[in-house]
Amino acid sequence: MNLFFFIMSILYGILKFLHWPLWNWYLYGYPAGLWIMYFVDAVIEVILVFAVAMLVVVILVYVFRKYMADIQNRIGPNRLGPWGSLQLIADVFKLIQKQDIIPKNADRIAFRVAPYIIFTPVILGMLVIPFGNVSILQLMVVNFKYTLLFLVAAMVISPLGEVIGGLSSHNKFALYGALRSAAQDIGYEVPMMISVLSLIILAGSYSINDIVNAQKNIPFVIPEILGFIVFFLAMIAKQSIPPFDLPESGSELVSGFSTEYSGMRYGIIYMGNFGFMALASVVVATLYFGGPVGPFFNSVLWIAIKSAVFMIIFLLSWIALGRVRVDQFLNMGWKYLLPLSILNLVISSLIAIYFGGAF
Amino acid sequence: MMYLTPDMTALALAVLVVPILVSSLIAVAHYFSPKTYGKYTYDNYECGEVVRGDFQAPLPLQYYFFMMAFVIFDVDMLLLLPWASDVRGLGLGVFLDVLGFIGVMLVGLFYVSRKGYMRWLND
Repeated sequence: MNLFFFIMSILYGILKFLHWPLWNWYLYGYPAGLWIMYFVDAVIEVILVFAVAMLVVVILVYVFRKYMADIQNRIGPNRLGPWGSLQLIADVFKLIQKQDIIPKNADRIAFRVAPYIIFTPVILGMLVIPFGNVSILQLMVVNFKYTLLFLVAAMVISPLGEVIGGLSSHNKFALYGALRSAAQDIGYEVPMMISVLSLIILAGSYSINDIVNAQKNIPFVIPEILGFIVFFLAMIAKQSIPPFDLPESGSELVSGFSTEYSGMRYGIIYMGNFGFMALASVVVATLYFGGPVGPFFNSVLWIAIKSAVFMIIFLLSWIALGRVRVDQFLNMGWKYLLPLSILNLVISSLIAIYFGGAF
Repeated sequence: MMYLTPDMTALALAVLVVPILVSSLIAVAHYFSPKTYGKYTYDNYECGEVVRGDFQAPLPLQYYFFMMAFVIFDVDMLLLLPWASDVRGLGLGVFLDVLGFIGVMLVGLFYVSRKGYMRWLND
């Protein structure tokens, strides 16, 4: 059963129970109450995805801090709650109490808009991912013919927020962060797009659901290992975590594009970064490792395991690796990743022509 | 009413609902935050110093060529999208055409990189 109809049936039951007077007015042949519930249902779905994403972010931040502390021979958060697990809740309350500072030189509208542009695509991306099913309930909010294109479009937007936030701060560090963010953006985006293109070639469809279904026998990582490498590096670059954390290189620029952000606005950017880490791992697990398709049965369990592995790899990359320079990154993108991704495009289109697409 | 499927409704409302949730978080934080004002509270951050100079100092934008190449290749990728969904049906001939199409771009990129436009200058 679809998630939408699951929630809709609950709402319908509530409406019937309440005997709402709106039930008697008709709009386009349906009761007005049903129309309202239709939109309420969509809002509930979005809030559900938001809540799940935020839960994942909370767990991810906790795991990150503990893991980083373990590697650096520290203890990490250990005061609040069992093993310091409530530290992040306390951090949120701390952020709420911080003063809301917008620098007087800053471009106020753009400065305020930037955190939204960074954060919203995370939830938009989470909406289109097929998370498999729990018994008969299918956990997929949005499914139409062009979900992969929508996902790519959503993922491409969030670096623009970094550029806007950095430029609008009118701060020298933030300006450098924004320029580096733009440089990084143009470095990895074309190879990433071309590896997505070869996924579309192999599956013969623009829909993520079809891509997952096409990986029933062999996951796409086996015919497209080059594309996987390119896409994985692009995902690391897109989250701007080390080794590609040029936009907010903490030891050179103060905090890069987010230098002037403080309080809850910084909290939103921070949540957006970690949410993007969760989204990126889920996307890699879905596009190249079959998502909810597993060896025994198809369930949400498999995508959870696969994406957890990728989250750990991303965290390890964050903790363990040093930073590359801007010119090194651009050279890598244009002289190595682009030819690799085009080679991958040729291989996958030859597979599609001679073996008939997906296996 | 044809396009008002449940999926599209959720997608369209997500663009509204998520910013509303985020802005409510920021509004709550704004309500509870202190509103003290010092002489330098709203200055830009420059490691504790008083702000000097203009933030828009002339900058060498050394990746300008990469931007041009990015625009060209992005449009290139966009033009390949309709072909990608039906590679098998369109067959080998169209695939060779596409290879030529990408090849022209790659030859141009290779030529420009030989000419030295993709080098990072250190002066």
